[in-house]
Amino acid sequence: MTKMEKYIKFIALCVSCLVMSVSLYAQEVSEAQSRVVNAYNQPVQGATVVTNDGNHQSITAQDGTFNMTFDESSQYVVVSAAGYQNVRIPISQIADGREIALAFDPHNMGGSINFGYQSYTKESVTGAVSSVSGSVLDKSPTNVLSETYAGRLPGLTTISNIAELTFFGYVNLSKAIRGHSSVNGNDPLIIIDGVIAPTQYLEFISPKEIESVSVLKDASATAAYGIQGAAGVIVITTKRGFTGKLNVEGYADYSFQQMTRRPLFVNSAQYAELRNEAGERDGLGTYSQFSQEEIDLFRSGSDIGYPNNNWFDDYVKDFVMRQRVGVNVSGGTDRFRYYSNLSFLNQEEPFIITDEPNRKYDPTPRVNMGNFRTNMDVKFNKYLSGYMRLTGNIKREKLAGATMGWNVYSQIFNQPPTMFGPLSPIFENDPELSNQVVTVDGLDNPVYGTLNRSGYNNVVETNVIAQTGLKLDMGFLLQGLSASGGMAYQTYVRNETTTTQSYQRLLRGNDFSTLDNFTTYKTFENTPLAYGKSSVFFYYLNLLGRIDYNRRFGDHSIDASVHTYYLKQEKEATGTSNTVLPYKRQNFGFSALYGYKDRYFLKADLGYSGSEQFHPDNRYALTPAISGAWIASKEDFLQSDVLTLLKLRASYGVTASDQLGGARFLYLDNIRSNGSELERGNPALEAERIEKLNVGINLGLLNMFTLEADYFTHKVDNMLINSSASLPIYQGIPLNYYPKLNDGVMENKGFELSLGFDKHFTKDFSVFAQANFMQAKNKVININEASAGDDFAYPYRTQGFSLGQLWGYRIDYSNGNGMFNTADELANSGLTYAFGSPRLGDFIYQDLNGDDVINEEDLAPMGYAGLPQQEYSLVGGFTWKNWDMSFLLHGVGKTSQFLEGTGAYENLGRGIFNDIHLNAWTPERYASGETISYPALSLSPSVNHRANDYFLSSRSYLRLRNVEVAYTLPQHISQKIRSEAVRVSLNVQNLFTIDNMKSKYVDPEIGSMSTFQPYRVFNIGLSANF
Amino acid sequence: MKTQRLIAIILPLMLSASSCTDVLDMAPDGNMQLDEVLADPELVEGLLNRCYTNIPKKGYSYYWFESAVVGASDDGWTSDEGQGLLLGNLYQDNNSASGHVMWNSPDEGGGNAQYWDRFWQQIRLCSQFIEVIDGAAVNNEADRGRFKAEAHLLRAFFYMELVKWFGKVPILDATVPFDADFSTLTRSSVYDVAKFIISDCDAALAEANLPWRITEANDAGRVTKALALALKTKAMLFAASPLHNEGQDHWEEAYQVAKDAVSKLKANGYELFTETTQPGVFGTGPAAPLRQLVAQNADYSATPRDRETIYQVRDGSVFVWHIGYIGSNMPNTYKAGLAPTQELVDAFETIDGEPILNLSKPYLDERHLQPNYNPAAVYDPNNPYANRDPRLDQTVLRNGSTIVFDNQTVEIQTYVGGAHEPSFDITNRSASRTGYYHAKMVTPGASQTNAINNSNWKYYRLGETLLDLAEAAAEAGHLDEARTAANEVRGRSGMPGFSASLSQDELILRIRNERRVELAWEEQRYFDMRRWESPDGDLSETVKWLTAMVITRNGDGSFTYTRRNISNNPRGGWQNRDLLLPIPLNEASTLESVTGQKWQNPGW
Repeated sequence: MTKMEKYIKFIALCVSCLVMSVSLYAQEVSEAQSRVVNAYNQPVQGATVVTNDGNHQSITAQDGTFNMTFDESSQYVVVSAAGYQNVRIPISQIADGREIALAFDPHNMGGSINFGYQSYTKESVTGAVSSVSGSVLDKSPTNVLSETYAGRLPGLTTISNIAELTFFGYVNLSKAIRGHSSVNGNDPLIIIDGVIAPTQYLEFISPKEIESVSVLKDASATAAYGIQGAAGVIVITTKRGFTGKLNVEGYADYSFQQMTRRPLFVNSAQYAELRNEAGERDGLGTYSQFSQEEIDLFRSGSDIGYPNNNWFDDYVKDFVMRQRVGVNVSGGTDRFRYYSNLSFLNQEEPFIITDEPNRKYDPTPRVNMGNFRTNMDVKFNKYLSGYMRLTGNIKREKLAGATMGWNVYSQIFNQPPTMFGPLSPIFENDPELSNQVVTVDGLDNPVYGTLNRSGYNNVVETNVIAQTGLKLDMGFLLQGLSASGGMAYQTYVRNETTTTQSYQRLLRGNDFSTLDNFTTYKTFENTPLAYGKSSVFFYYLNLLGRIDYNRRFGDHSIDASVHTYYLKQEKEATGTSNTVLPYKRQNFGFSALYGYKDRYFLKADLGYSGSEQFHPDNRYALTPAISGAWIASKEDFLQSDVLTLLKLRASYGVTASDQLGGARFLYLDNIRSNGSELERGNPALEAERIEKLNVGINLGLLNMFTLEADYFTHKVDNMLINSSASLPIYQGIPLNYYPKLNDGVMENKGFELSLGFDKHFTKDFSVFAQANFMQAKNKVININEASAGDDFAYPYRTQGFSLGQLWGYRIDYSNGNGMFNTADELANSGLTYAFGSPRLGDFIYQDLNGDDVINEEDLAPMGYAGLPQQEYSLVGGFTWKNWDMSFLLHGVGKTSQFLEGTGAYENLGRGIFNDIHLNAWTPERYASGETISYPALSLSPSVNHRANDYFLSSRSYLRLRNVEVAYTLPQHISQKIRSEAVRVSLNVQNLFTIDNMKSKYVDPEIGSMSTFQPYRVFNIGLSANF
Repeated sequence: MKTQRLIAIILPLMLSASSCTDVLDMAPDGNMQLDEVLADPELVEGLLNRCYTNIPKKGYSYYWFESAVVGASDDGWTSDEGQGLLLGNLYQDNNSASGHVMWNSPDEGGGNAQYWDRFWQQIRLCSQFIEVIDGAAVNNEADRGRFKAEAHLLRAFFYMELVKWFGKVPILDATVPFDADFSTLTRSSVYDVAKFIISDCDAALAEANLPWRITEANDAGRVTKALALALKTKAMLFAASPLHNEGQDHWEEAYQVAKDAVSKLKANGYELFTETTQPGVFGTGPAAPLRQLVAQNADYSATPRDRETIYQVRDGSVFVWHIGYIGSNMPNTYKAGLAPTQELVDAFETIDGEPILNLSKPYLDERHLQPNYNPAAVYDPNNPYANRDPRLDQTVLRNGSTIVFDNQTVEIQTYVGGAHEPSFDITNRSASRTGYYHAKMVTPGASQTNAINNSNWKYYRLGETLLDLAEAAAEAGHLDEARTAANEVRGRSGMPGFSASLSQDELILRIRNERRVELAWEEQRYFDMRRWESPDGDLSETVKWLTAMVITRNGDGSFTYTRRNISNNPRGGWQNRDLLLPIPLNEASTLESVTGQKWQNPGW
């Protein structure tokens, strides 16, 4: 924490410097007032008015008016607002106080896009980027920022494997921009407010604080990021204050969250019958597990010794609640502008805790979180301005049972419904066995005990990001020239107080007719709480410097910048490997955009960057890119009312990556002092270079239809791979320690398509809709893979396939259902399985290599990889008077996985049954021609429990991600509470999902039954501006 | 003016950020080069220590505390079979070249996994050590000699382990450079590998500074000349065995090596452990010394109690009493673990020295349900545990045995309805699957209140080397010496010697059976039953069907004994391919593509 203290002192020093400077402020300025209106002469609120040098800015009030100052060096102002085309107006016209009219923007060419180091107008974009405003993201009532991206940012794919409402939901969300282009690192770079923030611990930021999020996809947008740009960039820009009166927004959200799928939990009689069925298929006889009498008693429920428990209902709530309240404050003067946000979140957890009279602590899990943000911009004098941003988040989370929620969740399935409990009965003569937690053999952590008798964890997580910088307008040297520098520091601290308690577990004998057969399980005993504490700390330090030159000369415009940053990361890693050493990277970026007549654009980008990953001779990588765009529809010869937009774009360049599968210092040998020999270095290693090509077109028709299409290719031919193709293990150096090579080849191709419609029919009624589609398909061409040999139906498993291609056994469906239906069929198949003997009712696998043995030589590629190759979305909505409504449909395609584990394999635990198992193969069902949904059940792992056609599940889905209906109170009502605008909204998240999963109890995105399924959220939101 | 000052600050800042490339120079300081290591005697010792890593700890330190190698032989059946663990998968025949459970199960820190990779790493480390030690810094020259001898011996040790699992392997007597050409690589015959092992052992034996015995606990686990002799014997025994001999007869050579080894071991203080030193714990029966020998750690002293153990690993013992002893209804036990099969029980002779079954065809049917009794034995199928080899009760808990558990005497009741009744429900982990429980590795009286671990694994002991000699001598036709060696072992446990009237074939069968009895639970049977097969044979007669004893208690207190198959399905692991482990798939593929020859073991 001393670093923190030092840093706080530093900030305090900066602030006092700023205050002193402000007092010296003095300059010659003019002032103007004007008003911004739309085509229906309605005032436009929230339009920004910025001078070309960025030195003066303002924002329009509710009545469309704005006041702003400017000085003689400003050439013109740019007025922009969401949904309108930008206008550029000479300063002279502003001074007149004339009204400014904004045109609607049906083709979405207005506004600008933040590239991280620089903003460009959408018109001038030569590459491939997409962006979304924070207010759109705010329609999704979730706690994890990245969850709001799904379907909103074409080209960005997010996969959330754990739907837990907090905690690990943060770190289990993977992101990919236009698919995967390397086998090594595919994590996009994240830039927040111009600063690289290489962390996933940004998920606490709420969309309320966000101005926009943009996704940079092609080389022209990412080359300047050098070795960190190859996987694309996500740019998060938070809100800033504008000159104008104080604007206060208060908001509150109240959500009901409901898991979209609650698992099937069979009752005891069903369970017993299914276990018997499995035993019978295993050749153990009809009543090997439970007698008919026992089954009848389970069914009747008349005997306490024959329980019928639905453990899921006992431990998991139907609904959980979430509340969020917050306030935004913004405003400022020409000299000092500010934006502040303060918000508080309370998230309930889904587990049901039982009151225990003797328990001295409360294990009820819950989460509280507070966010704060202050962004300040200061203008010291005509030349010097600065900014300071301070953001933070404090999260307090209580975990029942000192373990993660998903850990508790998965154990529920290991408790059969026939298990007594959760507590043993009271035995008058044996208090030691009374009221103790009951479990089953093999289950060490019964859910009741975990939730109620094993203590709790208190986790406090703190994120603090501080950024500060100065900008010097060097117009005195050359008009349009400025220099700036800054630093940013981010820390993350997790403090975990654990209190753990052990408790007695009891096993019950197999005889259900008596309650006198409880015995202690293992050596567990009831203990008092024991305490422990752990903490994690890491930080990122950025130093930035840049020089910008922005100027217009008549029809010519230039936007150029040179920037450099130095980044040092102290990561979370602990232990003794070299991954604990700080990570350092340095980058120089250069970007220059030349525009002519606002219709021809040429852009050059160059990155020159290095990291400590490589030998000094190969440390730096050069990443150039060139791109251009032509807005043909601005040419006189193409002016028409039909073709209202035609823009052609193309970019080509190189991006690079130093993410080498988590390994470090691969250029060095590593022999440790105890004599152990680790990696052997290859000093010639260099950063991976991925070449990217993008060509695109924007087509607008009739001022309402827009078509945007992009085609892209990514190719890498120096991918970092192992040198193992020709290396036997027997030489004695572990292959993963053998020198690595830059020899891998991989490509990734695809396209994006979007079709939009946007029309204002009357001043009170407008409609918009946009459909997006993306496809990205990669292929691993060379990773030095050794052929598995001619005996294999497919001797290569990676080369020639998409990264993550699934492999499994093909089922031979030639007899109809793909199972051994008769003893003859089984006897005559002539097949031997290398993983057990098939029984009647087991799958018949295809013997692809014809050797009569089913083994891994017969594995075949099936389905796709886990990362979707296709993603699509449909957004739409309308506004009508004070109403507005929108929806988001989002889907993925060409993705699959094998269903496995809980919910797939019926033998697990003490037997876990899901819908697919209810109509498993039996001779009777086969004979009577009934539907058979599963091969023969078993008590133990069977030959069916393999990756195969049957378990292959398409993870394609179409989700109604979001629907929002909102009503803005008429002004005469809202003014009664002195509010400018009061808006009430109803949001629904994940209302329905259409999918093709084998089991309807497994969500296609989560892919597993043993963890939380996505939540359906009903949210009522209220916001009021003052 | 102020502005210019600011420029003066900002511009150099930007320039300095761009000029100092050394901010990225942060090579980790912990990395060392080999020459630095060789200049420091302590680091050289560290380098030798690396040669000792990856010695499997065996015993119960396999994944999930399964005694995997015993459970894969016909001596035991695990109660964990329904848990999808190592042996469960093996019984299901759930194995392949890309993931054989015997080397691909998670390593519980016992080193019992990834044999191919790890042993070759160790062989390279030993070779490297041998190559560099002559020029390395040591505290004295005696150290240098001993260290080098140890590296030779360890290389031989790891080669022996490779041969046991994989059969033929390439001989590698030096480290391989990065630019080596592997295209001419071939697998050497087991005989050639044995000769290589012997040459390494002889190099160690020639070193005056290599001791015969470890006498200080600090040196526990270090190799000795005694190990060199035991290794030579074992290597030649394997080379001469049918599975590995490639049609050649190496028995005479195996006999000579074994004979030489036994005489030198005896001349240097090794002898059978014949008298228990703790009769209060181990009893006074004739087999008590054997039980104490295997259940207790060897001691390190100039005048040790245990002069029989030749090589014992440094650590790796576990609480065997709650994981592989007697699970049923005993307080705080975890699982029954591996239980002895009826087949193992049948192998124990009667007290008069007669096998109870006809050893040339012990069962009349495939499923082992019809024993082919030896009429000469004083065996009563209705009172099967009477008049048996005393080692039976030291190896197995059976109906009517008594043990001390939590300071109380408990009678073992495996009859139907008894407290320790077996269960044939594969999900039941706490009951035996065979009607027996294991005893040999457990110190009598061990339980939660008297928590005694099993011994660290004993890789080689004189009793075993004597039986190696007995087998080689019998095969080579030196029947008198074969009997003498075997009888020495039998005599320790009070069993009469083999009759001189036995033919060579009969004697070989008796010696093989003797190995099974004396070395039960010591991970020998798994390898023995394989090396006795021809390369095109299989294990269908031994492990395909295994049996349990179901005992019903009659009204008069007498018992009825019924044999049944443990499983209604054949147990996996009996095919021809199971004689040797598969070479890991990637390795076989690589070697085949580089050399153009077949490398994988048959059937995989």
